[in-house]
Amino acid sequence: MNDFFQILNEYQGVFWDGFWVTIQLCLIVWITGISQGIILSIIAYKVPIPFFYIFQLLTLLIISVPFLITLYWFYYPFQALIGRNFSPFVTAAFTLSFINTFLVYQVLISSLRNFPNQIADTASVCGLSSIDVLRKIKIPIILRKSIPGIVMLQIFILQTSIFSGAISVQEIFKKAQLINSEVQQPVTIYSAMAVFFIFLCFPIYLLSIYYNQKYTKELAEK
Amino acid sequence: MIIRINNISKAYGTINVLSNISLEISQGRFYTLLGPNGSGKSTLLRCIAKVDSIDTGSIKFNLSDGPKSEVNRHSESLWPDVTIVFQHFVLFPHLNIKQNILLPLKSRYRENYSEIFEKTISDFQFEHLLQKMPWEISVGQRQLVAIARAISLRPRVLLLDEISSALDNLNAKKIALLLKDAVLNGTTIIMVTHSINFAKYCADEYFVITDGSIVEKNLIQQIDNPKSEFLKKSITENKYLI
Repeated sequence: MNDFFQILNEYQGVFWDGFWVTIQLCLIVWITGISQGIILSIIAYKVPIPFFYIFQLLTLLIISVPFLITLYWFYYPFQALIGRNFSPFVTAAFTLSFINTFLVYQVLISSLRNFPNQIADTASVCGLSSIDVLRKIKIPIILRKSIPGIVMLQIFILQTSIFSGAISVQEIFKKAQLINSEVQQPVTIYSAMAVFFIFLCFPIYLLSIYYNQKYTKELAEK
Repeated sequence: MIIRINNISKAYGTINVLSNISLEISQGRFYTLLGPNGSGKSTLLRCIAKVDSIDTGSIKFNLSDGPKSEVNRHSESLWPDVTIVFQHFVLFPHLNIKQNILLPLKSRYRENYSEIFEKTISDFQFEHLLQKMPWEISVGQRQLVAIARAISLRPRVLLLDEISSALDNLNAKKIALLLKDAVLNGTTIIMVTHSINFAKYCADEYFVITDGSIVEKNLIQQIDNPKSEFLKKSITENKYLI
């Protein structure tokens, strides 16, 4: 235990640097991925069915490829193809956002396409304008159905962000590896990492479970 | 005449659901629509409510003498002057019972919605349900709330799709009285039901629909002397119980 606090104290600056990079990376990926996912799902919902199937196929292809392969592909062949160089951080942020976009899209499009039309019909026949039906009925219900899934995905993105160390992004796991190469105390270092991720992810998991239980009941029609 | 249905037909793909239906609906009358499952009753109701489109024919409304000035109605729409209570998904699942009733009420009546709300709650006696969510109450109670909401909007035409299916005798009787009261105030009601007893208790006239066509129409007093095979069989086999 003493070792743990000693290392933490000695390398706190390094840990903070790594933590800050991880947070920056995740914030960029969460914001861009969720916004792009929303836009993509609205487009896919509005386009004719054949185009929707193209979106679906594209999504399946993208999420079938392991993250590390996509990351390396964007870092090496893609940049060679377009003849430009981007920093590892930008490449990782772009790749994670790209994947997050399609994951969020997948959750949202399912809520949009499975929305019970009779609820919207009920609102319309009660005299609500089409804007009110969208604003007060459809969007709140779709958000309630999608939020738990999207929150879970963001935890997945946070955990996946540690792979960006593979292209030398100085995120927290990469920093932990560097510290370990100096002090040679893997048990302490990686236990600290585990505790760190538990503290970060556990509240989000609980939030997701809470929303899931609350809204599943709320939206149930028995 | 508040609704004139002229020779309407509707098909889903190659299946004809409604075939050449013509009806004349008078204002302030209570009609009930009877028929076997899959005969086209609900589709007819949805077409009258303009929730579903028709393939041929026309449905014309005469709502010209309605109280237009006090309500907010969308110019392009008949709703909620003509409204429908569906059998399923009748309430907004993310809103509590109070919000479920108030949301459309506020949209229709900008000024005096609170008086109408209070009256509705007292008529239907569900003060105790107001803060509950739809999933916290029974299916029958949900239907009661949906009917209360529809009546509170004071529609000219109220369409009801199998509303008695989840109601117990006591609530069915309470609803029947409130519906009769609405009819006395000038609302026209068309109700799909499987309960001949409920129809007898509420309605002025009945229609029988089988295979998408109207095969019988008459005053409710004549229902015990049916002409259609479906109704004869139903009455002799005493198929319908409330």
